[in-house]
Amino acid sequence: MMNTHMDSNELKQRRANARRTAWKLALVALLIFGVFILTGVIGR
Amino acid sequence: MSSIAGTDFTGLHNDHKPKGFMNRWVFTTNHKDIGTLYLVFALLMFFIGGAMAMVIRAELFVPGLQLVEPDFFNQMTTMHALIMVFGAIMPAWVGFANWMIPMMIGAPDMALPRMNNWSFWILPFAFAMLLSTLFMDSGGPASGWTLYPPLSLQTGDSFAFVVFSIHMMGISSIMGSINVIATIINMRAPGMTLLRMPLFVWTWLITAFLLIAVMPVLAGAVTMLLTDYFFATSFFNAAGGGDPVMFQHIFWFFGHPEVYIMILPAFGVVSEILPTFARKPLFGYAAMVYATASIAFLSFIVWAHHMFTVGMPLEGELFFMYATMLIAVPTGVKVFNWVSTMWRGSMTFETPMLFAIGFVVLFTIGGLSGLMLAITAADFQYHDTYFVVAHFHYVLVPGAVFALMAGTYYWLPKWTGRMYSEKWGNLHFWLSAIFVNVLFFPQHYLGLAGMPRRIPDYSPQFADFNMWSSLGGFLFGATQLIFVGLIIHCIWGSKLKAKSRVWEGAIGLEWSVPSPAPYHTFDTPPDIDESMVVHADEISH
Repeated sequence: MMNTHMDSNELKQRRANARRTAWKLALVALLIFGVFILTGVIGR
Repeated sequence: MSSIAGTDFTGLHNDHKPKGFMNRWVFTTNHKDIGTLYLVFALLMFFIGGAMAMVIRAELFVPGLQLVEPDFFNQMTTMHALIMVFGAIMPAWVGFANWMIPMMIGAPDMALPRMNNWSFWILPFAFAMLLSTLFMDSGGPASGWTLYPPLSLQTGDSFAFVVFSIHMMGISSIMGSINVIATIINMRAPGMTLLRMPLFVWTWLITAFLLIAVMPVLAGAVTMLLTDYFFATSFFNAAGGGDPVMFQHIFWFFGHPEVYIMILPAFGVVSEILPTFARKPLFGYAAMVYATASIAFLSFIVWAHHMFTVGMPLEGELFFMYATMLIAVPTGVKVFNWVSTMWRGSMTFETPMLFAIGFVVLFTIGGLSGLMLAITAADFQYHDTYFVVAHFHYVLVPGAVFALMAGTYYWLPKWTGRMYSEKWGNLHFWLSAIFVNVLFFPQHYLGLAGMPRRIPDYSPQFADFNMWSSLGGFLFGATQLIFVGLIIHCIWGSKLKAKSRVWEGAIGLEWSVPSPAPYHTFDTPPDIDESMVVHADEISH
């Protein structure tokens, strides 16, 4: 039987990790948008 | 089979809902309520987009200009596509993701519930803005959903509304995707390893990465269109030294992965349903995961097959032809695995299974016509004809929409706690399956005979097939009213209570909670023991 228990502190920690994941992904999205606009401007 | 221990859903805590309409639906952060909002919104958009399709098919019923002005016809084709893609299919899948992903991975909710609320509530405003352009002096967009310049730059001042609404849809999609990824990566119950996740969760994880990668590209493209129109830039204006073909490259760098964004979750749903009603584990679970990832990767390197006729170098045309054909390999793996899952299974044919099998057969037809279009030399004949219209409608209607129907029938008892009418569900399937073919199959012949797409009038030689297609369209549209009636009856009229495990062969955490699913599930993470085997790969170990 594997370890299957998760207490409330761990849940809080997971939510904090999720927020960090979200910020990273949002930055990736912004970066892609920025790169496309920038290449458009430079390409012109 | 699954076994869940230590999870108590009988306490009142699990089922307390916020009081009052505003608190329950407007300010909600509950994944199930937000899922319901997405699904209701998508259904509404299906009927608005469907009404536009009826206008198109009515105009094309016989040759000659009948009902609407050509410019309004073009607005209808454009808006029909924008609404069906961004307003109906995508939000419907996000609705499924909201409802099912937390329950399938044993999480109490989505990882970022308040952002979840915001993701949804952006959408009604975005589509109100898009639809409002139909009532403006310059009318709605009429250049096709691809918004190719220079045509799209002739829209008029309402173009600003179109671009801003696309920005809002994009922001909503990106936030939804971030939430899905953050939830799957961080909120899985202990024991729910990545390669134990249900296929629907896997396909959505990959879809979410696709969305984050390509929605900013669309946002960049339409922003450049906006500045070309309002701020006299010349990104795509040849007179100012710009390049309109560059827009096509950028658009389809978004547009082709977008096709997979609409179809990958469909693959996931079908991969859930077929094992349940074949009473066999999914054949080749790991292969399905890798095939999905392969399709997602390949979707980034095939975009120019949408524009073979613009005059690319031969090497480019060959590359995009072969890369496109390569997609048939992982897609073939999927179809093979679905068929193998059913092979010698103890199959029963409840409505979700009928729609899932309908999906496998009819989506494959759409895939095969896609292979025909991938042949560069042949595409010079097919390009911009009704053959293309037939192809992508086979992929999207008996493909994505049938999978949405299948998923709805599959999980509706879990959502509502009541069984739908199997008799009416069967009728809905058979009428849909017949009329969708009457609607779209003749369009292959129209295209091969040379009828161009996006035209309100046509040569009399195309009359018969167009009449059949329109008849199929009206009847397919009318058939969907059965679906609405069936859902309403299931929620408010059905006397048949659903069990926790609604379907005999169903495996997965969502079936371990009561039906209807309590307002809060898995506040305490479920214990998943090692007997939680969901696919044949684990059995063979």
